[in-house]
Amino acid sequence: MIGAGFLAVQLLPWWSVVLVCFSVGAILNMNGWKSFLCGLVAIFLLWGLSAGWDFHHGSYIIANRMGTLLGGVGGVALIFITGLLGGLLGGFGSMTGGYFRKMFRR
Amino acid sequence: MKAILKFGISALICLFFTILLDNPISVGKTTIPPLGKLLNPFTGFWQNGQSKTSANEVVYLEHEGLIDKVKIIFDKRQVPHIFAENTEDALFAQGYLLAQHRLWQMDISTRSSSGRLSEIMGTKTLKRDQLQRRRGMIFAAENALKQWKTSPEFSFVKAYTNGVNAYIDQLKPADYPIEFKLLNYQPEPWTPLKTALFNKAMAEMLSRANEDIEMTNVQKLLGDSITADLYPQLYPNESPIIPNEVAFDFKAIDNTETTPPSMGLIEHKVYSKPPSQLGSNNWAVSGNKTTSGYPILCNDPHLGLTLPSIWFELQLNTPDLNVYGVCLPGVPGIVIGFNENSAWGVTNVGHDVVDWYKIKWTNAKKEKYFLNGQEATASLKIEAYEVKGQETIYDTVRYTHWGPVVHENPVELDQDLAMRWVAHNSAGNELKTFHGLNISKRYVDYRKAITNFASPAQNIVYANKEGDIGITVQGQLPIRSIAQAITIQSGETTDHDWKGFIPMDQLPHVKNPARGFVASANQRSTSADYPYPYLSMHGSFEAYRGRTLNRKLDTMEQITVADMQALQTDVYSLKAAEALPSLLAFLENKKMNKSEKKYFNLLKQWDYKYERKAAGPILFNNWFSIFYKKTWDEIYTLDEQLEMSFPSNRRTIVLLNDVPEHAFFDLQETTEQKETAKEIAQVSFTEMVKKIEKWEAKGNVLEWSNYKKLDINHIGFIPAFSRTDLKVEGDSKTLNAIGRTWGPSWRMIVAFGPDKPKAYGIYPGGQSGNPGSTNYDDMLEDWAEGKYYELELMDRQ
Repeated sequence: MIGAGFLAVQLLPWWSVVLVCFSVGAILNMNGWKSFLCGLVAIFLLWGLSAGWDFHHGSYIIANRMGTLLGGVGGVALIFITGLLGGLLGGFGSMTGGYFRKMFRR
Repeated sequence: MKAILKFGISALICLFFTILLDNPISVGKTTIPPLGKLLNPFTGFWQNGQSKTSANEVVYLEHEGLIDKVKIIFDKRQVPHIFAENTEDALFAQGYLLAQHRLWQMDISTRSSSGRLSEIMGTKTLKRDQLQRRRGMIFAAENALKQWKTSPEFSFVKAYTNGVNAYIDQLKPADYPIEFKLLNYQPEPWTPLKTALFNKAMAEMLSRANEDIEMTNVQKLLGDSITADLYPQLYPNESPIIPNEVAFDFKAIDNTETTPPSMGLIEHKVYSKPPSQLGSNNWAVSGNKTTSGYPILCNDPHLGLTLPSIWFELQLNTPDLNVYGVCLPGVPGIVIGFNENSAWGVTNVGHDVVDWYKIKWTNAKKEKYFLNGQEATASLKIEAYEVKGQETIYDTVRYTHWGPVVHENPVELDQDLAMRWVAHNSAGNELKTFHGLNISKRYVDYRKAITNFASPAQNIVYANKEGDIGITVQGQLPIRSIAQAITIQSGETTDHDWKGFIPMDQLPHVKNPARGFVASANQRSTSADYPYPYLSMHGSFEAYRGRTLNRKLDTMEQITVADMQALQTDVYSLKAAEALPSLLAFLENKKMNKSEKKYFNLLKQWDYKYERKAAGPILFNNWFSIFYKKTWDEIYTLDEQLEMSFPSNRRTIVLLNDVPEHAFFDLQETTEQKETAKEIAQVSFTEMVKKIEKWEAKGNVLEWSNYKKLDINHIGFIPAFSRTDLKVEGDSKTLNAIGRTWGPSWRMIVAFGPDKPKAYGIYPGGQSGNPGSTNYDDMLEDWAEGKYYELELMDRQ
């Protein structure tokens, strides 16, 4: 899920990650909560680690300023917020995929 | 069934959440940008980490739009040194680099100037946009562009435009500057019209100010005699830019004029005036006064200070061109700078070049108006405003013989005011001027280059390696009487039309004057002998910096670069020196409490310098401000109803010193007593003491840099991208002129010598417009401390 999410966004808009998780969630055929958790963790890691990498490689200035702008949080806190946001998107996506698949299960 | 339901709900949540994050969210007054777009690490702000290039990097620019090869060397402050084989390629590269580092600045500045902010900001900027278009900003830019297209230098603008667009074309959403992401819109292509718009924005900042409406009311309400007394044009002991000895031996065009009739009281409100203290200092000292035996030229333009800065530093080098200096984002060439042989700089001339005419419409349709007894037809321009989140709004701007109608009365047919402004269709070609200066070698090259410069009028100082120094009051200046210039005219007759413009060869100038220096600091251009009358756009020329500068340069000998740095950062206040002695004298024998005695002594010991640790500046500024308000209480009262002009500080201080019994010192509200300057001085002092006592009691240290605040705001006023409450010295009237949000936007010193000139400079900001870059505001602290960097005019690679 992490790999596919990363590849998709190279060509498609940022929300393609949701579609990716939907597809993978459907393929993996897990039930509701498990599916959600899978997506959550995967994209939390994908977005969080990418943000962290960017932070470490020069984006710390803009991250700190953006943190101030978005309510006075620190740049590091923004890494977690980014991860969380991504995780939720991924989680809802794969959960929806799982339920989609479940509709066709008998 | 249950499965479908679960899927349905899940899909809805998923869809809702995704759409929520893809769109802006309004929370009360603020709008949160699309968080999904903004926060994702692949296209969001995480990608705005640093600027696209780095310090000490070498770049080879390649593009099909280039004729030949281009090499760019970035130095440690990310100042690019561009090496090209021809001028067009150099300017293409300049365009490319400015887009690379200042794209949003270029976008928002031209949107602001042309009244297109509402496209991205919605209805809250609509009124502002409408005003910009009514003032004829786009009209002015289109006229300038028409001129440019007839000149060979138009190829410069085209090359520059191509360079900017070459950069924009290769941008992916992830690379958009952060402000585009925050405001959720995309960059659009650059055009030559936008370059013209940027120039007109500068013209507006520096030459649109005027007091016509205010002075019309003053004259009507106070009468001619009091007006002449309180609002004089000339003061004793003037120290003009062109030395008094310079004779004007040419035949001037006749400009005698009968005084036009009063237009009555003007009820229109004056919107958004450009700040009155924008000005600058420049000077050049001849080799006779320097230790090196060669001239030194200095310039520090005073403008609004922003992040990113209005200036960008660079060097342009081709086989025919080798120039270093600062440029404006959106305009090709170098505006203030030097080459191996010459250096030049600018300060604002500050003459009133705006007149207002009262239009009398024939009927409510407002399509025809009376002119010289006939009916003239106004040209109607429909302006369309694409307002974000709404339908397009349309507005009609009416263009008359005089210019666009800016002030409208919705009911009356004879109260509308049309604006005539030199910048609307100025005859000049700035491209020729700046290119001419960029390649100039000798004094005659400088004179030839500047004759093309029309608006905004500038005092252009020049010095070269051969030893010549000179200064010219250069611009397109209207010929009309003072009486016409000061007040609103009738638009029904061409009797009071401008008689033309001062011929370029009759503009005041001087070369190698006997006193060994040329200098300007926005003071009066000439002695009263100059045959063409002119008026300051702020009422009169107070000339605190101008007089201080001339006096100091007159006495200086064996001048070094360090002396020039000290002069640019000098914080002596002539205003305080002229006002304080009389004010203090009025306190003699006054009974004082402990605080009053303390402040009195501090003021007595003060040397009129606005230094960081001084207490005097805080005390004097507040004392004089209260004194001024009490003196002119009558005018403040009138100003509550109608726009009024206020007497100058300089006149106030002359009255304080020479006419302390003047009627206006009497306070309106005290009908039993008649106050003189003495009573006002004492009462103001008491009030000031109470105010500052309270301020100190809150824990504030009585030092100027604690009290004086300087904010350098992001152009979009985003606090996280701004630097506020900087500790500085100086004030608006000292040579180191610093206001609340404006100050020396560039400081430059060029010292000639037997080889290449040695140059020093600095500006309060950084080369990169990216708030995520280490070069966004790296020069700020050094600037605040009065430091300079060495500027390197690199040899051809």
